Amino acid sequence: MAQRTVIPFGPQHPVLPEPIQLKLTLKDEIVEEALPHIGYVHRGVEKAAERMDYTQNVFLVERICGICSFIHALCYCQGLERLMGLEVPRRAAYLRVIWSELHRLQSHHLWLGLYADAFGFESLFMEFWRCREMLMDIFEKTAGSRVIISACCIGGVRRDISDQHLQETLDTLEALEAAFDKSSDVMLNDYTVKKRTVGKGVLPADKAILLGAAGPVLRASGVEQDARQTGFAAYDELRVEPVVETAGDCYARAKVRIRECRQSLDLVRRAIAGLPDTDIAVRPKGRPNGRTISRVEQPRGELLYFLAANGTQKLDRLRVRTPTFANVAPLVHMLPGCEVADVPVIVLSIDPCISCTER
Amino acid sequence: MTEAARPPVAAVCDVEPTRPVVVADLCAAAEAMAVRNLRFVTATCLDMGETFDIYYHFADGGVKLENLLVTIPREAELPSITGSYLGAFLVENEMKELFGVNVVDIAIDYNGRLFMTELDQPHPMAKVQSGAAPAVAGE
Amino acid sequence: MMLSSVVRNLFSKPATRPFPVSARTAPDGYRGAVAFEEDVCIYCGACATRCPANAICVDRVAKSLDFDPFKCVQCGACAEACKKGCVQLQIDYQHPVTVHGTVTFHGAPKPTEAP
Repeated sequence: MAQRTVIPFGPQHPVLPEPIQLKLTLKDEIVEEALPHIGYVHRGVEKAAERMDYTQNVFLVERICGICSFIHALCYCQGLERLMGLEVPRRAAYLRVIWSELHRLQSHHLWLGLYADAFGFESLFMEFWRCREMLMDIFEKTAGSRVIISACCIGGVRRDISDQHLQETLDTLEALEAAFDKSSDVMLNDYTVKKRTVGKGVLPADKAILLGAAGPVLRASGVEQDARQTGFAAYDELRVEPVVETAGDCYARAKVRIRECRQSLDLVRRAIAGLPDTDIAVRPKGRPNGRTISRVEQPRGELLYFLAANGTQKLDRLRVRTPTFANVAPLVHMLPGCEVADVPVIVLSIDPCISCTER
Repeated sequence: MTEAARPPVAAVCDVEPTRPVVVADLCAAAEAMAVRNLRFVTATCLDMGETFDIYYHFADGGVKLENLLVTIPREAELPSITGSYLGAFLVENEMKELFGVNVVDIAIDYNGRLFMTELDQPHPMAKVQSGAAPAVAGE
Repeated sequence: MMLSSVVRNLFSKPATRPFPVSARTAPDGYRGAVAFEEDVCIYCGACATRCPANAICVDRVAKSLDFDPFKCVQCGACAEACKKGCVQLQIDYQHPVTVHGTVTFHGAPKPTEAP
């Protein structure tokens, strides 16, 4: 006789780096319904942004997410530049791409490690995080900090990267790629890993669109959408083809991220090779006025900022839609039907960043 | 680099392309978007004092964005679009909780307990004090 | 892969450093603890207005500056805002202290020079 049980999964759980609760309704070992509950780390960043100066907000929005701090600042600055009619120098645009792609690499490495940890593969977790350390050292050298790099400012970037540091970055990426080849090979071809990921948490393409999935979750379901196609920063010259997989399961989501890592490596090299020699910032003049939308591609998916300014130093409204905010809804579809032992892997496969989600 | 390849610099003071819709047509408009297979990105609520401006953003492919704008009086009911886009439940709960927008018929309704507890002051994002539009500060 | 990493880890040195014995130094340009030069400072308050964390409080009349290292996020906005170049971010990180409090700097009276 099947019995129904409700299990609270989280907010504290070994696989979860951040608190989210899922109320799982189980019938024996099978999940019938999953209801996400957030609200454990709500910080009110959107409200704080209305009280601060628009230049100070650059440092505030970076703290929405440490893992992709640069891309948050980029999205915010890009929106303000549009409102103020600023044209960013090309070198700054290229440097923005370099830092963005390094952040994507770093974030995917972090995720691949945590994901390996989710199905109990501790040594693979260590291998990925060992590689990630090399990337953190690049940030420290080029931007002055490991996590919150604060390299973006309104009108450009705050620091230049010297030729020597560019060369060191390229050398580091060389070493990184060799190590990454080995670890990613395990992630994609190991029998036990495939046993835990293939066919789990399938999200079909039509559902992905209706539930509003974003980023690798969306692309793993076969939807060819990547905000880098809009050509922000220097992506108009450094063209990006979205990485697409069709299976829509956990394995496909890992594969998309692994292929995106290779794409990022390639993008950083192309950006460094084609780095123009211009100024790195223009001075912002006047005050922002009007409403605009700024969209960029984060490691976790599409990030959207809605800015409403009124010609004063403070913004009327800053709306931040982080990718995990969009990817929590697909969980409602992915989890029902799976076994309770697969829940941690499926939850991790969306790359949840709960502090982003709640802002 | 060609000028056409770059994202356009917004010279106008509003988000484009935005189509205003009335509240009664919102669900039908959302359904039409769903039929065209557009991806729901998010909704943005702006407190304009007497009214709320609510934008719904939909992505058409990877590049284009389409927006719907609904303007409703403070107390008016706003129908939920979770009938067409289930993924909208989080953002609608957020609007209801942080701004006090009266969103009705949300598929998964947290009843104002998504972010906050019963001990918190309700609707922290709403510009409660003045009826006038944006409070000018910082000049 | 598995075997090779087992063998490598058996015969390699630890990836970590024995901290107090060998400390890691941050590279040039690292954003560490904020330092003020109180003799050069003209107490104009430019750093305080730009600080996103409200960690600096300047009294222009009394010529004093309060700095709260616990609020500071080490973004470097103050160093960029300073026209006199008297705010700098050091390579060294902010060391832990036992008492929570602000640091106050006072300007020496300057009879001749006006900014």
